Amino acid sequence: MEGEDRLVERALNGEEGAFEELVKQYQAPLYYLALRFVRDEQAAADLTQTTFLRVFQGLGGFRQRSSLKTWLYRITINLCKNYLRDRAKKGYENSGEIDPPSHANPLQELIKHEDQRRILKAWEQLPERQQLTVTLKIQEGMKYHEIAEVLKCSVGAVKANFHHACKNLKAILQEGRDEMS
Amino acid sequence: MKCHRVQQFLPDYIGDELSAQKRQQVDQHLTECPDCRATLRALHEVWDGLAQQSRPHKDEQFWKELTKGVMTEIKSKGPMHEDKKRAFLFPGWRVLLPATAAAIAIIVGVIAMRGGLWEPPGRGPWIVQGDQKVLDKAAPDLSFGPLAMEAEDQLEQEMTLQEVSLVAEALNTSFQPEEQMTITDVLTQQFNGEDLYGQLQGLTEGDLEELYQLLAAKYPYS
Repeated sequence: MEGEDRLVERALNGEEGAFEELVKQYQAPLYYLALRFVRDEQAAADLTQTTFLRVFQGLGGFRQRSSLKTWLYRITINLCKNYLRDRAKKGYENSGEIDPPSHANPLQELIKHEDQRRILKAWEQLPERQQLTVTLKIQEGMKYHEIAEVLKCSVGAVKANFHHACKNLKAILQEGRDEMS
Repeated sequence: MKCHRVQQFLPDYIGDELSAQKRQQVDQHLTECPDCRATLRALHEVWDGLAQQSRPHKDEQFWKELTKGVMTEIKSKGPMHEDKKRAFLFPGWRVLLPATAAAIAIIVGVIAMRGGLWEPPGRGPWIVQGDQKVLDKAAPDLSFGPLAMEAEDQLEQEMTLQEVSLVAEALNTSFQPEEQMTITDVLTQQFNGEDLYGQLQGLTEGDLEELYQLLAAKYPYS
């Protein structure tokens, strides 16, 4: 596969095919990232599209000091935040549900689904900054320094957020267990 | 290594962020300590639960459509404007643009923070309640923060050119027409009739030069 730097360079030179290649490379991770936050498939697709539009319009200023990936993630997260803020103003509340297990799944799948739902609910109770850090670390598999680039903060702040998030998740889940027993 | 120390390291351990030496120390402790192993197991469960959150499967057609939608939209916008390209690539603007954007963000932030309390010399109060809401919205949008939660800190950091272009984009798209009018009015009044907002929207070298000079004179610290 062609190197990312070369692709960006070709896109900068106005090669449509190169930009399309970048879209193909990143559309799935950006779509799923947006979907995690907005929980609306159409909105996630729209936000992904807007991300690429902004990238296209801002590509001329991309200095490649940070990676294209962190830049794309940053734009998507910004757009998600704006979207959620606007949606909150309109009084929208999402159900917080995730896809149920497929009907072919055995009991174990059902238990797993229930565990995932519980964990997702706990994640939703985290402060926004911690939610983001956890998502980028655990679900996107980023290193602390990459998350720092995306969130424009220090590596220390990312680490502190992640540690707090782990501690909070543990406490929230424990609280839930105590309530059930 | 003591238990409480090991448990502090566990998020970094599981996230593969420890040095080889520390990792070895944690490994060593874990082989000997059932309590810490239990804590690690619990953390693994949460980690796996989040990592394996189901996401809807999308077929090839969906991705093709998404790509097509993006490319159609881009084509409708036309190629990147040559003036804009030159403005970004011209070395001098690498210094000027971030300063300009920082100044804009500072100005909007300051106006939003001071709101109706501020009164320009020789004029009556001109920020009405509705305007305040618009400015409150404008401030975080123009601070380009990932979540606008560290807006002030970020103003102190060097901004990248793509972020500057995002500011221009935000000015063009983030606000409703009436909101744009309010921002334009406020900035115009703040700068004694200079159409600051209009100038930034254009992003041409001449406008930016003029704007930068204006801002540099008014805000030498930026």
